[in-house]
Amino acid sequence: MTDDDTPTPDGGHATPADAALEAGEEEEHLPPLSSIRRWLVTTNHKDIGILYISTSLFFLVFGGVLALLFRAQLWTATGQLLPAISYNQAVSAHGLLMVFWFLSPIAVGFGNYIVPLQIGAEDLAFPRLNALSYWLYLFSGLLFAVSFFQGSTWAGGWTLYAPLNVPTYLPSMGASAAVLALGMFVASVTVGGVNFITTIHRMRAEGLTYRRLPLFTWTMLLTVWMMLFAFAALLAALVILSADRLFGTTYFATTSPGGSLLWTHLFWFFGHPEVYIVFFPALGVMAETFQTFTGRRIVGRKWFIIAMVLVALQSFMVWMHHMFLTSINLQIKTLFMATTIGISLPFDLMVFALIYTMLKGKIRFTTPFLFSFGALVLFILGGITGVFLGAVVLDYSFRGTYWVVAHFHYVMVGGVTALIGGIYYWFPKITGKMYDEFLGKVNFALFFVGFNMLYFPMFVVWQTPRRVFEYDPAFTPWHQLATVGAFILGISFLVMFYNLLKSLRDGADAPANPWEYATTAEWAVDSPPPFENFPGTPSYADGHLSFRTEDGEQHTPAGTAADGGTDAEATTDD
Amino acid sequence: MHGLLGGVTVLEQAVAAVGGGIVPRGTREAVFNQIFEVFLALGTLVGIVVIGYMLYNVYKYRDHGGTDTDDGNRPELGEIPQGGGGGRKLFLSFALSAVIVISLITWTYFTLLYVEGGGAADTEDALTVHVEGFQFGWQYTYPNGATTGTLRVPEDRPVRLIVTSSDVFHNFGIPAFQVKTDAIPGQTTDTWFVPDERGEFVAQCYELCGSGHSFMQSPVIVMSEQDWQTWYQNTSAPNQSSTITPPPTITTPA
Repeated sequence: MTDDDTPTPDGGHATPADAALEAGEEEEHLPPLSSIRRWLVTTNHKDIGILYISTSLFFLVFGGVLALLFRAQLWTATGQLLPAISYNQAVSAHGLLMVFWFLSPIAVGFGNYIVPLQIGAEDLAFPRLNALSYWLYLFSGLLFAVSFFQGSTWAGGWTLYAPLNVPTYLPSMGASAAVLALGMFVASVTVGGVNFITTIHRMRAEGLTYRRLPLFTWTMLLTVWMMLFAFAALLAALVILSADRLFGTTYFATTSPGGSLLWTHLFWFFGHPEVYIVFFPALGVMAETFQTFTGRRIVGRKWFIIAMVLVALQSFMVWMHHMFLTSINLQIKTLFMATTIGISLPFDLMVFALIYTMLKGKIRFTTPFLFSFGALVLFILGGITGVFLGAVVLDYSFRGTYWVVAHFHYVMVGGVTALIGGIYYWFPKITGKMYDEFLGKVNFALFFVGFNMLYFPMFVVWQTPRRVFEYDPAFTPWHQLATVGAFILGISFLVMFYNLLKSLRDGADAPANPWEYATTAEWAVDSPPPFENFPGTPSYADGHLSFRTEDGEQHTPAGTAADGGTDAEATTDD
Repeated sequence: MHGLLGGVTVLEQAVAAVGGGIVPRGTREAVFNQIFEVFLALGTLVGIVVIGYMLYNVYKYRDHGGTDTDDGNRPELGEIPQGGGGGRKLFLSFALSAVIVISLITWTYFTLLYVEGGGAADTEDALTVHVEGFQFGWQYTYPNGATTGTLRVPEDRPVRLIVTSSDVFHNFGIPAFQVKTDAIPGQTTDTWFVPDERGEFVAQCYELCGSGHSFMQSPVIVMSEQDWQTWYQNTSAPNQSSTITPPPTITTPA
């Protein structure tokens, strides 16, 4: 971008000298990007975004290798690759790593990098808290990794059901370390959440009202609000559990009446919103990429947002549908069946909104769009199979089987699909380099084929109980197909890493906005953006993004029409 | 809740008035299979229609470089985020999907009421067996106090199960008869099934419960009523104390 020396259509001449000088001074406090010290001391949201994304990809590989291990074990109906307790550790750690240390953090990484740019903020509200939140995340993950070497790590499933979670049954030091790692992770999430909430509510550009917030920012806002309340329940559960494990209390002991049920309530009160916490940012990426690559504004945008807000609220009222077979009574089952169906309906609206956005479009099959489109297909399949689980009578039979495993992988890894689209979408912005489009398409093809080969057979042999390695020999061919799919899926990630690293080194320089029809503010600044993000104070007050400098001049970003904005009402933030 | 359930009862009577055949009843497998088949057929249909429509449109509106189909009214960089038109179609599709989902679930709800009300096991001659899960097996206690590690039941007689656990959270299930319930320490859950096929089946744990979880199975043997009676008469409660020996007849649950 050449804002600094190109006269803009409105005649204004952009010389944000003061801002640039200030930015330079700020950045001088930090070592250069090539220095390792920079990454240890940085508080800049873009640096921390990169740290989050890279670290989460490390944990993706970690959790993925564990998955390949147990998929290899499932090659035969009586697999012997891992001893029983190691198998349980593999499935438990896979779930915990993917849900906590990969899915949420990669979204938070995008949020860190993109949200301030989208809303016109220089940084998050509390940059040092942001750094704290990242380092808590990293160290919690490392603590979890260390737990593998402390006898045994967590082997009680990612749901940590009581009373298996007390030392009587899982006595190893590693299991306690895993619980403490989770607690530390919750601290990271809470600190980060407060930061995002403050930033999005208080630091938006002039004229950027809630109705006008870019959809990715909307999804992040709802995500962090859900995090704030959901993770509080998890923290409560973890504090009690830690007391049981470390100080000898007996809240969740076998002899504690109701202790077991208490855990399921606390866990699922967190656990169900968590599903949307990991899925919403993916939805945001889908909304952004559908808009950009179809060249169409989201259909029914207002209703899309309302639907998301409804889901965020309702997500706290469905948790007992994970407990239909516990001792809860018929009235409660009825209520939670109703709320469960209720929460599925806003998603129908969002799915249709995305589909109809394609109509009259000018669709370009770039890698980010392919991943987003694929994600929508997978999410629809996940949604349809979810309705099966909403029928309580069917749920009774599906409980604890591969139907559940297949369903939530279609939903959650469907979300991952969109997030990979997000990696490709924002890679030019973050690195200043274009990725290799051909390799990107190869990546998508392998990913999509591998994904369906891995998870679809699980619907076919859904009668297989979860987390067992001895199953009906009649199911063997389908499980072998799934294992082959798992390895293809794994290879697709090797292609992705190769593409990203190769492009980082040899890729063509990315322009400020490599995508036609992108609208949001991150594309109006250089790739990568300057340290202080914008060449002036961003404002939408005159109906169009412009940057105001201190001497009263303003200019619009290159490539945008100055006559585009007629909607000149300057609505205040609140 | 009373209002809600009251309304449902009225609805149920209405459905029953229309025709009792609508609501699946019978054994657990029969109920499951009927509902599952309908869901599978409709789910496949909806999936094909929706994904087919997506593929059709993504191909139809692909960018072939030529004329712009939307009069050049394209999003611009830096514009205030706003929505596109097409709300009418959106709401029609939404309403349609809502109707399908809500009617499907409501339909299954009547079966849920049937199942929860005891279903086919809501009879005098149902056999009640207490099941206790432990790491890593199942113990069955019969009305006469006898305990076994193999569940033996007579063919075609409904069985009521009262399930709990003596250590960790388990889940008891017999896939062949589509019966399943949580086994929770300090709590009991109950469920029922009709063993309508003679032979040997498997009961299995469906909740991760420790290193032996994969092997936590026990045989379920369905015998003829006569064979079962013979077997049952020869069982006796362990540590029989003369005062509290229950009569060797089958009692119904209180």
